[in-house]
Amino acid sequence: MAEVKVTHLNKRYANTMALDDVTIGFAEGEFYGLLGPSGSGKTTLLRTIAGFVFADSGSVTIAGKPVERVPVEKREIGMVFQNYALFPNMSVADNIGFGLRVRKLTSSQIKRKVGEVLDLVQLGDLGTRRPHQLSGGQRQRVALARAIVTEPRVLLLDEPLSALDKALRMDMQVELKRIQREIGITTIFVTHDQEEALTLSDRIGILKDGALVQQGAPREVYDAPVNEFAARFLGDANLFDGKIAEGGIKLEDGTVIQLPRTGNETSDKIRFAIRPENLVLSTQPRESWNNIEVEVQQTIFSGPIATHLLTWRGHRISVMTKGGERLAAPGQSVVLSWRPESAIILAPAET
Amino acid sequence: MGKDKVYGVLGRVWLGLVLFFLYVPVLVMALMSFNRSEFYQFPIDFTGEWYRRLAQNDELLEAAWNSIWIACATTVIATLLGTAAAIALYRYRFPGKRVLLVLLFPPIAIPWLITGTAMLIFFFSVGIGRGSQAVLLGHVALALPYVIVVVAARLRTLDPQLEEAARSLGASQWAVTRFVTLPWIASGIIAGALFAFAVSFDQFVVSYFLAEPGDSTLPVEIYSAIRKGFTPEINAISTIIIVVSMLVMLLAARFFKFGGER
Amino acid sequence: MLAAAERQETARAALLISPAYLWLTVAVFLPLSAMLFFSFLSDLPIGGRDWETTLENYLEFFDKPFYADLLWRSFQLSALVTLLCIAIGYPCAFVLAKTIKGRAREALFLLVILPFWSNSLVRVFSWAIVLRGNGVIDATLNAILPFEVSVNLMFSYPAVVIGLVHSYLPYVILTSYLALQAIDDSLIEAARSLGAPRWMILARVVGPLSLPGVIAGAVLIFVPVMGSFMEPRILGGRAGTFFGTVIEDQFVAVFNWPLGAALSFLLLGLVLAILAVASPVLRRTA
Repeated sequence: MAEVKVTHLNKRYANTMALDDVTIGFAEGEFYGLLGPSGSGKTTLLRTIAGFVFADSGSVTIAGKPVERVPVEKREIGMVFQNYALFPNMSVADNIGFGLRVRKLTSSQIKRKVGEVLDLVQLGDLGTRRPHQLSGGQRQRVALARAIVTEPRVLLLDEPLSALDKALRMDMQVELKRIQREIGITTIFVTHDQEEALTLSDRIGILKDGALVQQGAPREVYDAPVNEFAARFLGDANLFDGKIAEGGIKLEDGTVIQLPRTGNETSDKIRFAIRPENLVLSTQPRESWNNIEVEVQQTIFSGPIATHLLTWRGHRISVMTKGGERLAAPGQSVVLSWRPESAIILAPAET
Repeated sequence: MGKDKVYGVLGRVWLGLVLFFLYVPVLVMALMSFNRSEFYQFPIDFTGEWYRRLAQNDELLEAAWNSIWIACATTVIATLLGTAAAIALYRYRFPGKRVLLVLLFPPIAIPWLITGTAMLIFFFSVGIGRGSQAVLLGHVALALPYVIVVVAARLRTLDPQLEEAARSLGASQWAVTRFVTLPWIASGIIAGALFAFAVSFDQFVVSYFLAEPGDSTLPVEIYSAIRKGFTPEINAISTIIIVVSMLVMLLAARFFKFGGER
Repeated sequence: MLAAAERQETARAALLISPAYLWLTVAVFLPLSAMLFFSFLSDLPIGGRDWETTLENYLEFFDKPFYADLLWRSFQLSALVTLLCIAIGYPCAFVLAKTIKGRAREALFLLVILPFWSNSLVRVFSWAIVLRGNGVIDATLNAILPFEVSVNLMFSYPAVVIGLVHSYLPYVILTSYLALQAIDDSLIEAARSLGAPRWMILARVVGPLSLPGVIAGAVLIFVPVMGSFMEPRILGGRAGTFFGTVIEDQFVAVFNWPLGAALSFLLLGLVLAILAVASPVLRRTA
C-alpha cells in the first residue's frame, strides 16, 4: 500500500473545468470517499489517479514518486469499474487471475492466490462460473477480488455499489469495509450517494464543479459543513437568515434567537443551517431553546422515520422524527424548537 | 383488420415476385449448364458434358486458380491491415480521425471504372505495370474499407471499460488486444474476411484493367469469352462461381448479422 | 510534460493505422492524382514520345457534343434504373421490415441479399441467356399463349435496364430495410390510434423517417451505374454505348489514356457533386 498525493490538478474540457486546482493527500491505508454531484469532477479525479486521464497541470504521486508519465498498466493500481467490466469470455478464476498472468506468475502460484482471494470475498466455489451466470453482488465481489489479488498500491473504486439494490448495497458496504481493513490498502472511491460516503469513509472529500469544497472525517464534515453546498449535499439542511441585533440574532419575523457566536462575523448578516433531526415539534416552546411558530404542511411516513414538512414565512422546513411519533395534522400550527448549539453557521453568501 | 390482411398478402406477393426476378436468371443459367443443347433450347436434355469440357479448359481453369489465390491473399492482407486500423480507430483518440473515416469512402463510392483506370495509369507510370501483383494491390485496396467497417461495427459493441480494466491490471497494449479485444471481435473479423474474399473473388472491373491478357482472373476470362461468343462451358463455370459466392456469403451472414439483429 | 503520454497514444495509433492507409494511398489516392495529371497530357509519356500539358482533353469534351450527349444518356440511364429500383425495392423492404416477423424475416432478408454478393458479371451473363431470342422466354410464352411469339430482348436498351436493375436492386432494399426497421413500431401504432389512414401514415410518418435509407440506396445505385460499361456491353450491343463504355474504349481499344483520364475525371467530378449534395443525409444513416 502507499500514500497518494494529487497537487494542484487542473483539467479543462471545452468550456468547463473538470478539475479546478485540486490538492488532496490520501494517507496510507485510508478509505477515502470522493463525494459530489454528477459533473463535480470526482470521476475525472479518480481516472487521473488511475492514468486514464491526463491532467493539464499539476502532479500525481504514488508512494512519493510522480506518476504522470507512467502509463496505466505500470502504475500498480487496482480498479473496480462501475459496471464491473468482467471479461465475458473468461471464467471467474481466469478473470481474477488475469493480472497475475500478466505479471507472469506460474500457474500454481496463480491458482493459490486466486483461491485465497476468492475465500476473502467469500465466493469460494464459484471459480469456474462465467460472469453472466453470476448475480450482481457476486460480480461485484469478483471485480473486487480481481483488483486486489495483484496486491496493488492503491485501490480505486468507481461508484462500486451503485448498480446494486438497496439491501444488497448495505451488506456490501459492510463487506467492503471489512476487506479493506483486513488487507489495509489505500482505497479511494467515488460516489454520489452521501449515505455510502458516510458509511465507508475514513475521510470524505466533497467536490463541486471540479473543486474540493471540504474534506475531513464524516462526523466532522457532517457536523460542521463549511458552506451551504456542503451542508445541503451531505445530509439535509434547513437554512435561515438573520441579523446580529441586541441580545442575539434577529430572524425575519423579528424573533430573537441565540446562536453560538464565533466572533469572526465580518458583517451583521448571518446564515445558518439546522439538520432536520435536530429540530423538535411540540405545542409549547422549550426553555433555553430557540422557538418559532410554524404551520404543518405534510407528514411523510417512511417506516422508521417520518419527515414533516412545515412552512414558516413562506420557507419550507423539514423535520425528521421517529416514525412512531404522533404529531400535528396538516394545517395546524405548532412550535418548532432547537438547541442553539445545533445550529451550523455557514460561510456568507455562496450561491 | 380486413384491409391489413389484403395489404399483407399483396406485400408478400410482391416480395415473392421480386425474389422470382432476382433468382430466375441464375436458376435458368444453372439449368442450362446441364443442357446438351448449345442454344439454350427446351426441352432440357441433361448432361454433364459442359462440366467435363470445363475440366479440360486450361484457360478457364488457370484463371480460376488465379482468382482463388488472389482472393486468399487479399483476404489475409486486407483482414490484417483492416483489423489493425479498426482497432486503432476504436481505441485511440487522435486528431484527424474524422478525416480518416471519410477517406474510407472513395474506394466504395467512386465507380470502379474510375478507380480501375486510375490504378492502371498509376501502376503503369511507376513501373508496377499490369499483372497479378497489380490486381492484388487493387483488390486489397477495394476490400479494406469493407473489413474496416465490419470490424469497426463489431468493436462498437465492446465495452471500453473492458480494455481499461485489463490495463488497470497491468496488461500492455498488446496483451489487452490479445486477451480482451480479439476474442470479442473474432466474429467481426471472420465476417470481414469473408467480405474481403467475396469482394476479391467477384471483382471484375478493376481486374479487367489491371490483369494481363492470358494471365487474368476468372471474371475477366469469362467476360472475354462472352465477347467472343457463348460457349456452354461459361455457363458451367458461372454456375459454379455463383454457388461458391453465395455459400461464402451465407457463412458471412452467420458471423455478421445485417440490420443489427443480434 | 503530460502531453508526452498523449503523443505516445497517437504514435501507437499511427502504427496500427498506417499500413492500411498507406495501402489505400498507393492504390487509390495516388492513382487518382496520377489520373488527374494524365488528363492534362497530350500523349502518353512513354517510349520517348513527345508530351506536353494541355487542356485539350477537357476541351474535347466541351467541343464535341458527342461526349456531353453520352454523359446525359448515362445520367438518364442512372436515373431510370435508380427510380425503378426504388419503386420495386421499397415495397419489398417495407414488407420485410414491417409485415414479416421472426425467423422468416431473417431468412427472406438473407435470400434477397444473397444474389447481391455473388458475381455481378455472372448475373448479367445469366440475363443474357434468359433474354436472347429462341430461348427461355420464347419457350415459356409459347407454352402459355395460344399464338406464336418470338421475343428477342437482347442487345437493346431495355435489356441493359433490366440487367442493371437486377444487379443493383438489393442495394436499395438493404438500405431501406435498415431504415424502416429502425422505425419504432409504436410510432405507427400511435398514428393509427390517432385515426390516421394508412396512406397518411406512409406519407407523413414512415416515408420521411425512412427517406435517408432510400436516398442512401439511391446514391449507391446512381453512382456506379453512371460508370457502368460491363452491362451495356454484354446486354446492349449497339444500343449499349454510354459514357462508361467510351471511357473503357480509351483504355483498351483506342489507347488514348489522357482523354480517358479527362473523361474519367469529369465523371468523377459529377459523382462527387452528387455525393456532396446527398452527404448530409448519408451521414445520418452511416
